[in-house]
Amino acid sequence: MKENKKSKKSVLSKAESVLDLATGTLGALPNITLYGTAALEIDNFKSLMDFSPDTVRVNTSDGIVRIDGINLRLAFMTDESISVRGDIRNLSFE
Amino acid sequence: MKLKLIDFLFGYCRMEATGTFCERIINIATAKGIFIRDIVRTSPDRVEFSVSLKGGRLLLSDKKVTGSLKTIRQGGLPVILAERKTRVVAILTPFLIFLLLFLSTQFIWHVNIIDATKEEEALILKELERLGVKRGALKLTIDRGNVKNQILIDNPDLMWLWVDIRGASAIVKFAHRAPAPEIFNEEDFYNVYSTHDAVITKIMPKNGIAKVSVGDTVLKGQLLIEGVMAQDSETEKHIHASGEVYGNVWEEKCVVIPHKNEIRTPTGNKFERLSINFEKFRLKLFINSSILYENYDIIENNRTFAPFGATFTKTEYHEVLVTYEENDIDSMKKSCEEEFLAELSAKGFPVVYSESFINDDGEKVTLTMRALCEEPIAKERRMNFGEDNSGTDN
Repeated sequence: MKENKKSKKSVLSKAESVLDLATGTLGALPNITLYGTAALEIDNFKSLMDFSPDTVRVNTSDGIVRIDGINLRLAFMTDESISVRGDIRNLSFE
Repeated sequence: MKLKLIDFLFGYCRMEATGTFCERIINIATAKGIFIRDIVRTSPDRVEFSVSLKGGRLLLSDKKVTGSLKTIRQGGLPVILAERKTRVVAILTPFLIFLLLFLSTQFIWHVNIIDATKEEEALILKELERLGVKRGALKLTIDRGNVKNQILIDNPDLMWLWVDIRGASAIVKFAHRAPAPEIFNEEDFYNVYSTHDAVITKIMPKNGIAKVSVGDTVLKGQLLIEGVMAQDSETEKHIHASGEVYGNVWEEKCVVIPHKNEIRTPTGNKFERLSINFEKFRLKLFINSSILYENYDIIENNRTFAPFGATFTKTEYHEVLVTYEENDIDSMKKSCEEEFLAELSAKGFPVVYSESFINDDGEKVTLTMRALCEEPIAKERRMNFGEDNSGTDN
């Protein structure tokens, strides 16, 4: 199953490179947008894994995104996107 | 800001999730398509968030989250309205009534035509309806000047017409054009004819030749004074004949006198029934339709409630006692004769002779009154060359 997904991803990424399209156009890759250090939005995420005023961990198809900061809160959350507000200090991938 | 405004307008539900894995509840909510906002961790095992009122109900009904989720508060306009339902209704009801009244007065509910006969009213109503002035028409769409002009153009017998809009009523005033008097051209040729069957009593030709003399019996339309004069044995001269001719004319009137006269004496007993009429729909505001009295008089009062075009009808049933009284035929005959002669005197016709006949068929008496009056019977009429001008027509 995993292999199928991986092969599908590679086919889509190859198609993107052949057609000279922007990365993520054909696939459902997570899209992370950082607005300075005050806000961050992640599209195409899978689920919220951990949430505290210091850390937010979000599961995506490309792995877990970890956001560290101070007074973090979630402005809104839908099944597609999540918005993190607060003083963001660190963004890392696990 | 936008989210806060949406929350206020559509209402929101502030919820608290408790437990070690509060994130699970949030993930379940998003999987259900519920839009979650303002998620704040208040303590290591508590998370607060806002959802819509519908979302909150949906989330609470999920068995997976029962026990670890509770509503802290609800807010927004729908919640305020629901909490203060009675007060809101009390404030809104007069406002709505006022609004309804205001809206209803923007329409025409009653068209009132002043001083019109039934025929004139029907004609003018039809014209007004064609031009958009009718029940239910929006006042703003009525161009009064155009309505007035169009009706006057299409009806030459109307001299003026005015459409006034007061409240929800259209008030129409009009006047008929007075028929222009017949102009007698002195240079035209006229004969004088009789207007009635009569016996000539006086004839005074001013111009022309008298064709009848005093004592002659003439028929209606008969030539009295001719406007054709012989100049010599071969040629004729046409003139404008005129003159005054008086004759004795029979005037007749029939009156039916019943043997018995019905006398309806009110007993003082009465009852009322109310109904509301709107167009052809009649709403009865009573249950029992039967009439309590054997003999009764009906008095109906209609009151139009202009804002809605509805008519309130109050029908009064007055009980009456019916008795019959024998008529005194002789006195009735005398009074009828006096009335008839007074009518003739009022017209300015001196009565030469009068008579009356009674025909009694058992049920009623028919009184026929005749009077011989001296009346002017001359009427000028233009000669039509090529036609017979001497004849007895009208």
